[in-house]
Amino acid sequence: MYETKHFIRAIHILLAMGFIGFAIAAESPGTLIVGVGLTVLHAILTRGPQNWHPPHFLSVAVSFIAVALVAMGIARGQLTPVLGFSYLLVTLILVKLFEWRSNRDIGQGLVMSLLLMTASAINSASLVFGALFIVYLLLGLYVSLLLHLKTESDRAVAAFAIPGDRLPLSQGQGQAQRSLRRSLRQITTVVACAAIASAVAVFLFFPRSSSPPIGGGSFGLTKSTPMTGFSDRVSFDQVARITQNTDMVARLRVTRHGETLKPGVLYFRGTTLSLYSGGVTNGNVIGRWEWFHAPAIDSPTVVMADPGVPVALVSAEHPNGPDSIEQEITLEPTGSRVMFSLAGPTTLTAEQPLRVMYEPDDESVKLLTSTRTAIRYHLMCSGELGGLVTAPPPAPATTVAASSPEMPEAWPQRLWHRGGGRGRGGDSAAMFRWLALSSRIDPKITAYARRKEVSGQSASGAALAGGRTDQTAPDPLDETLARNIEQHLQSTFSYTLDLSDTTRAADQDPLVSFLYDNKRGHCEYFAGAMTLLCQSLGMKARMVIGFRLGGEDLNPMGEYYIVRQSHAHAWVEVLTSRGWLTFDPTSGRTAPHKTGVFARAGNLWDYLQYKWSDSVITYSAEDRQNLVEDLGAELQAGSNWTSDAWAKLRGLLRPEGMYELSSRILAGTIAIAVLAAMAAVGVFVNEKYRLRRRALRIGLEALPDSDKLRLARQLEFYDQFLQLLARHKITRPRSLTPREFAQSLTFLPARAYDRVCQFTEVFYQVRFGQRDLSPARQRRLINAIQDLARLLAGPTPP
Amino acid sequence: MSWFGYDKQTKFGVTRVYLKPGVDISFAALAYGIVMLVIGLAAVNTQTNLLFGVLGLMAGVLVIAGLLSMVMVRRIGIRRQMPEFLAVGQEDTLTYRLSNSKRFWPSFSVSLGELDGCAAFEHQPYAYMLHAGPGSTVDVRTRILPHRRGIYQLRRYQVSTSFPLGFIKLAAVAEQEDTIVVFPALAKVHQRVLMMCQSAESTGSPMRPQQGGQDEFYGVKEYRLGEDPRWISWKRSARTGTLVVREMTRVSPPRLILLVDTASDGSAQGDLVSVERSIAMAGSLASHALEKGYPVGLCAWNDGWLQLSPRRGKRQRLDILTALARLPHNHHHGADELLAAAQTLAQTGSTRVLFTHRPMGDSRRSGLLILTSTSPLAESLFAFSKEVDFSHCMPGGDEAVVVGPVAPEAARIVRT
Repeated sequence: MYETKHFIRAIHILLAMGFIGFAIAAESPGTLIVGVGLTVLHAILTRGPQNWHPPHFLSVAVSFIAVALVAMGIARGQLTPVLGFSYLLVTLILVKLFEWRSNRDIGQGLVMSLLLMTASAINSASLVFGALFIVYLLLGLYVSLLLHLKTESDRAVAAFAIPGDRLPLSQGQGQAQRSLRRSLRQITTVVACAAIASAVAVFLFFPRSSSPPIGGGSFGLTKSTPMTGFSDRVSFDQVARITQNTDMVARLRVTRHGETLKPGVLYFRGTTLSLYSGGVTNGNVIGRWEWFHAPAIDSPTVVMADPGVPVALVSAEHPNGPDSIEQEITLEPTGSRVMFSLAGPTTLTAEQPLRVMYEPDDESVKLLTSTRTAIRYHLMCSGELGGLVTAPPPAPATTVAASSPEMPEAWPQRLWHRGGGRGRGGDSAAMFRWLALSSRIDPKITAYARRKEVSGQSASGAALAGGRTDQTAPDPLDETLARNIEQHLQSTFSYTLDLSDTTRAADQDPLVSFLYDNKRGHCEYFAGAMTLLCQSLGMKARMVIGFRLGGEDLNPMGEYYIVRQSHAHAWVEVLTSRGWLTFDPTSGRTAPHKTGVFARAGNLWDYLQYKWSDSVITYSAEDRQNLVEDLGAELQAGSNWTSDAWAKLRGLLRPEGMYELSSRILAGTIAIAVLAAMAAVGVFVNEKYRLRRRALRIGLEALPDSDKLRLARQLEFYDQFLQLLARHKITRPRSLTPREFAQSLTFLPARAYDRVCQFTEVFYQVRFGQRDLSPARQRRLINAIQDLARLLAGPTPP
Repeated sequence: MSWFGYDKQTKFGVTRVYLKPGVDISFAALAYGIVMLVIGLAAVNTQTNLLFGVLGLMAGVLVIAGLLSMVMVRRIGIRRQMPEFLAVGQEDTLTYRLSNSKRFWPSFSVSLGELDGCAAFEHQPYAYMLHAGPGSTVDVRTRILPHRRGIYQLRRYQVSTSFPLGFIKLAAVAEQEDTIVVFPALAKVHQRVLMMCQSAESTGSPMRPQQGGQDEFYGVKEYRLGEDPRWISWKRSARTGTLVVREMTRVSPPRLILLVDTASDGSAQGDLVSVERSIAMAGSLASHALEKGYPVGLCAWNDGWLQLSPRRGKRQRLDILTALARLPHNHHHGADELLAAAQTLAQTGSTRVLFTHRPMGDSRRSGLLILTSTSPLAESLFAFSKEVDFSHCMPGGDEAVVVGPVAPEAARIVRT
């Protein structure tokens, strides 16, 4: 009969996998430690013949305490209902594991473990969890089969009404039990294949819905927390050290006419900031050194993107040319409303309903409300910024004395509160005042910008900055000035994320400190400084925040980019006579290009994660519809082909087609005959070659050709016999006759040695006794060699 | 409902025969369906693609479990191998040889339950096969404990399985006709019984010499070709000039004629028990005496007077025990008629042993030994196994109860 000891380890592994899966999904290392630890403890305790059980009252007490704690946690809002229920399941599984007295206990434990994994599956998009889940299901299937078998065995033992060890043992039962595992694996494989096929079919074809979930989607195991690395605000207040992380923000596939775009650097634009607060004070309060997004001049376009329907963001064709770059973006929740894109987005296609706002001023795309789930969208873009797009009228830069900064009345009060500057909703008067604003630039910055070594000098030695005449429109000199400033910053300043050792006065502008004293900082300092330097010279400039991707960030396996928090970057766009141009003044930020095995392994892992996410987690109703349509098209094509073939056949069978049919049949027959003849020749030559090789192995090479081939045919069994021995590292030295060789194999098991002697005897009868083996006899000998192989596969005495 | 009802035994020795429906959906399938429903609702509600996969996986498992259940019981050849004779109260084994003739598929967890002839046994004979690989043959055995004497036909049996996951239980009925004879309970007989039989014989010497034995010298005779030369008497041959051989005698024990009184008015349960005890005592003595070399005969009422002449040997043992196994109770033919009917069997040197449940006064008449089954003496002379319950040893399956959805013909056949 089947016993628990045959599969108790599988049960432990299964339950441990359940705990690990839950820990991954709920990001709960405590559960991992407790669950897996107690499972291992149980495995250790049950190694012996006796099973250890805690007192029953202890199990009951633990269960009740768990229920009470979970209820309290949910009532206090410390736990989500699903998370609380999952913690309760974890506890009950462990209680059932230690309380394991009957098959029913472990059956209940397995069901609860499945529910735990199901709750985890809702909450995890991780490839690790996915792989774990698949293995869990297959192992669970195997364990279920074994558990059912044990249940039936126990029931049968109970039916006999006598102890199991006194059951009458049956002849053949022992042998059947020995092959039990093999048969079970076979059945498990069949069931698993059928189940996987069914799973794939349901996964692919089950209708999907876009309606919101009942309960508002509050099925999270963790409290939803968006990423904190990226922010659409830039402030220099009290930021001394920036710690970058490698959390994934988005996956990006960029193609041009179907080919993956592989530029040196991709600037994945988020939002633009063109107003700098300049650190004015309000009474005793130190002002903020903060950048703000400029209010829109042109009315933003608000569009409702339905799944799979392209939506035009610009009404006319993009001035820089037709759409040529397609971006396929899967964006994780960032906590902001910013959608990222390469320059010049024109058409949006979302895979889920999205309400999107497009701002023509800076060609940025934003969600109307921030999302807490990943979104996926396609954006067509030109790759160039629209230089002729209406820009905010240049306002004269306000120069504020650093010694007495005061907040002008024109600054909306709400900007001075946390979160200010992002909202759009204000009264029209406030908006009017807002439109009249420009960056507040410290005079030192202006002075710095006018230096020859910063903005350049003309051939005559005069500062280029002084040559700029028109303050209201882009000047042909602007591009040169911007390029010089960019080069100056890149060559003179150094990049660092750690400014903790720098000092500045509380009322000193951080950018002034950056330009005059520290001369090092991170990308926001570089971009902010260049923006202000350009604006101080009367140019239109804005800081852009987003992500900068290099060629090294392209995963060659799937030809897509993984955008991480560490790719967050700030750069500058300046309006020149050629339109908006991109400048990146940050120096020394380029990450080293990683190569080698680990890099390839990392790429592979990223690719697998991407494919898992792309093909499984985000499989949508649109994908399903496409699949159904493709299948329909394939079936239609197949049907058409069959119809055409049938029509042709009928045409050939008509009297007028008979001649053609006969010709074709004749030609086909001739072709087949020729092919058959060629095949026969090939087989003949191959057979001769094989026989000669065999004769060589047996040692018949000295014989005449006819005898050699005849004996090689007859002695196939001996050749296989020698090959079998060779696989067991036993070879016949050329110095030994077959009989001497056979006599040297006395170390083999007795039955195997008998077989060897038999083969040798038959060999001599054929080789020297002129005996012919019938085909049936040869088959029996071959079968006997297979028996010998089984004998040799067993343990052989040394 | 129990899969096979071994955990329940009814009163009065009635054997329950469980016949399962051809297809049965289990509670486990219901629970599984509920879990599927929960996961399906979660999948539809949350649109989590993994859950759609899990849902499909579970649906696939459900379907394949049903198909595999059918495969498990297909192409299994079953041969019942049973002992030819059993005795009430003596445990034995019933062997089923299961041949899985499928090429690819193994068979798991196959249960076998007898449907016919179960009244002979304490429980419905039931066997369980854990596993038979493709193309292999497995013997599975089951313990059987007969509790009714008689001749029974085992014909239909039911093969069932709930493998792989217990969701669907499939059962099929097959037939193989076998006959089994259940002898009356056989007791350990005290050696005093045979001594009593010898002393009861009063017609002459208890040991009658006969020619052809090797026990005592009888005489000499002329040697004939083929006779054992070791018996040649060389002295006598030398004197007579003719080869002569010694002729020996065989000392023969008395012949026993067992008279079994099965008459009872049937009104009291005690009478039935005593009659059964008488029959079992007769069977025990017959078996014991035949093993010791006594010629044993039988006389009893079996819809007419059954008379078996005293003989020795295994065949005689078989005949007597089979006759006793089939012996019915009667209401009219008592001990006097029995004694009269046995006169034709009585010869010189015969001892009649009357087994009755009614006190007969003088228990030692001439050539007659009377053993009353209700007497303490009988209990001391015949030690029956504790498993034997004489209250329901009477043959027949009329009292068998069929539980479950049984076809009318099945019930009828069970009652044979």
